[in-house]
Amino acid sequence: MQRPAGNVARLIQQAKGYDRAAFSELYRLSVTPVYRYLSARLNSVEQAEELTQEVFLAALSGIQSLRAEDEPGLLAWLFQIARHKLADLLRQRYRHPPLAPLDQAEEMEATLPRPEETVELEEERVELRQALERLTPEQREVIVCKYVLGYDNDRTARTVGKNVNAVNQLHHRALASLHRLLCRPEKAVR
Amino acid sequence: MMTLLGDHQFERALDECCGRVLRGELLERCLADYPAEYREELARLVPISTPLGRLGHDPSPEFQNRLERRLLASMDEARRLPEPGVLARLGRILMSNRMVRVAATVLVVLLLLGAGGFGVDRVAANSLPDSPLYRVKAARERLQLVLAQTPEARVAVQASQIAERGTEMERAVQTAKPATVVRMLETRLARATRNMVDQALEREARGNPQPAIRALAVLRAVEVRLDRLIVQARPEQRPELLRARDFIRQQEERLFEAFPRNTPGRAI
Repeated sequence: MQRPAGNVARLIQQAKGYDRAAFSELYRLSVTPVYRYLSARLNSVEQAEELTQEVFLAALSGIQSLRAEDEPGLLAWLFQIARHKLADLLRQRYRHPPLAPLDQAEEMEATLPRPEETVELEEERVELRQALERLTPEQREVIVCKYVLGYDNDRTARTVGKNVNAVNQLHHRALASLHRLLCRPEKAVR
Repeated sequence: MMTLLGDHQFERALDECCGRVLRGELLERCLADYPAEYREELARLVPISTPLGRLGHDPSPEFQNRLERRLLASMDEARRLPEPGVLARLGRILMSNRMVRVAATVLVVLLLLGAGGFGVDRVAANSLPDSPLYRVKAARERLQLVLAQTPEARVAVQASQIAERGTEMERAVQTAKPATVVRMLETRLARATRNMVDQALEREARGNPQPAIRALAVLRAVEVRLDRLIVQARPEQRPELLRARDFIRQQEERLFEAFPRNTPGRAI
């Protein structure tokens, strides 16, 4: 349910003046979409929480530069910060890949009671995320907006800065690429 | 299988059908409502959308409360800090404008060229990241990117800069530079490569495969060069070169995914 634009504009103005209540309300309005946006691309809860925190701290320190006057505008701004934070994290991960000692990993595996179904679901998620990373940034944004955030076409179009036809085309190409990546017999996704 | 690409009617049907299946309708029932020529492609693509909704999850209430408290504490701290001066605020406003930043970069490069003559630029062209002149070279490359008007032109500029990183790595190995220099080159190479491949794939998705073909050609050339350098390099330089080569291979794979059948050299 979207808030009336006037309310959000007023809250943003008040938050710029460091009004606690206004900032809290904006935070509650946006924390779930921002978290979902990040968790769709990250494999651990800790990382999603850490990055969400970084996004909101960056938003707080840059709130004076916020030009949005409604909820979609506010979220588009927060997603932009989230995109930069994610890019930083992926660069860092590429430079220093996490290496868990094998015996520790095996220990975790052995101690956690994980029904087969849960393991399969988690594996499916990891594979999907890897495939998602191989789409073009625009295709990825469309998939996240439509399926992770549950936006309709108009809202997706507004968030990615395209028209609805372009969104439909990106959606089609993204699904075709995902099909190619996920349904090949040798599962080339790494 | 991509014969329906660009068919707006099909794209609308795909969007509708994915929505219906996500709301719990059976795929077969949904397919029955669309023309026969769409059914095969819909049956292939719609099931892919079902698990996508499970990718994200909601934050826990504990985390939400903890973060809210932390943010409000930071806000209280910020309120206690003195207001920035007029000049600091003006500087911040000016630098937040892209055009102003571009103009500042152009001005710095012109000043450098004016102060030191073109000789500086020529010497800088052969420099490596451990030299102060490398900044001149980096600024010139940034300027080239800024001045590239179209995505295709940007891919071309990035391709030549990636080839240049290959030459620099060669020079770093030949002159036995420390591993930190190779690491800086590898970081720059990785960043430029990812940007170039992203842009090339965007263009390919819009029906112009030329930037992707060009990107692939330059990546293959750099990969061959890195293969040779890995053998010649000092042991401490090798991990960075191996990392660079692996990254190049990953990006080549991304390009292959975009045009798996028509690419020359695909079978290699």
